[in-house]
Amino acid sequence: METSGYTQTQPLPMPVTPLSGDHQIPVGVSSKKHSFDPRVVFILLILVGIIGGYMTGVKPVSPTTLPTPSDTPTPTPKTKIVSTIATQSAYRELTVSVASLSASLRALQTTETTLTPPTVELPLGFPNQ
Amino acid sequence: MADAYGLGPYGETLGGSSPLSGTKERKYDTIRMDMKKVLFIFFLAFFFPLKIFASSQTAYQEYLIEYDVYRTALTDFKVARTEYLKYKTLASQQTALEKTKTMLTSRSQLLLNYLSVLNEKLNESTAMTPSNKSLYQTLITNETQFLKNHIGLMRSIGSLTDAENVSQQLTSHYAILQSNTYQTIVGLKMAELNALDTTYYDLLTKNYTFLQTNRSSYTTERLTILDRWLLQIQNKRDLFKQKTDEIIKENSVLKSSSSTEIVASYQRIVKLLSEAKQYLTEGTSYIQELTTSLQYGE
Repeated sequence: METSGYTQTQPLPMPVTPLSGDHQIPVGVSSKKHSFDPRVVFILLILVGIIGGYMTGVKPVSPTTLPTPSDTPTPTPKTKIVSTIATQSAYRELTVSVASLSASLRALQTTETTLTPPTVELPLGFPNQ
Repeated sequence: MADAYGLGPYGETLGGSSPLSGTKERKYDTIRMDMKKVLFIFFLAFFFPLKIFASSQTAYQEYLIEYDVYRTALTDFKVARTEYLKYKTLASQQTALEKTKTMLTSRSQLLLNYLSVLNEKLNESTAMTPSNKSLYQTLITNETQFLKNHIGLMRSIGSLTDAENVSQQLTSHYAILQSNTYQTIVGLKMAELNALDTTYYDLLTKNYTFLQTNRSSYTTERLTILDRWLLQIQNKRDLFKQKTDEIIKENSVLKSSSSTEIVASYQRIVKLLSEAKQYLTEGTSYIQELTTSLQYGE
């Protein structure tokens, strides 16, 4: 039987890979961190339930709000009673005259460009002869 | 044939002429003459009244044309003056003299055209009283006469010294001319404002009378409000009157030896005119409100 240079008792040389500290998982510590109190879970569930209940109670309200019908009578200001005075010819004449005066005032210009005097040069600028 | 002859050219034309009475050319000439007469009458009938109506517009257009002429003459004069002052040659002196004379004539003509615009505006003004119109037209006539005499002096200019002397004549008179023109402008504007004030006062009186006549239609509370509004409308008119009094005072003293002072004074008057107009406008809006309110008998 052909045997190798090594005897069975001799251990095979294995490459030694140095294990860094990062690769080591501290099992005992992590299990401690992820463990949570069931009471907290219970409180959270209650809170979620309350919020969910509130949301379901509130949300349907907005879709159910109907738009205001167009034929709904809008509130009108207090109507004033127009007296018979308004129908008198004297009154109508008065309103026309007021409108005419207002228009005339708007048309009046206090400074008219067509009336602006010309600018002329007066001194001739020759030295004394 | 005999009838047509007796009727003259019309009879001949309209009555129908026989080939024996004249040639065809003569007939067409007569027709042409008639057509010319008709067109001339048509022109007179339709365009002459328009021309009268738009006389201030025509005068203004002529003034604008003259302004362009003056600007050109002024530019030419400045060029000639610069050349003369630089080279002092006889040729440049002669050119400067010619250009100065042209510019001086154009300057006076421009002022004449401007006075013509003012005069036409006065003629067209329906708001101004005849006495005021006559007063302002006298001022313009005097200034027109002065400028015409001034233009007449241009012929006597033989040297640049003469030109200086003639120009000096207008320079020393210019403040008077300026104050007269500004007084006329203010007079025109004041007349317009006063005419509107008359209407304003008339409306105020009408509103007052209307309210007094229909007093029973309103409640006591409402009547108190309406009476107060009437008082406010009257107050606006009082303020307007104060402003017009100030304008009249300022306009009467619109005389100074300095052109700058006259312009400054005119600017103050323009400001007063706008303030007076503002009071009338505010008062009119009050009248409008009052008139609208009168129709409600609550």
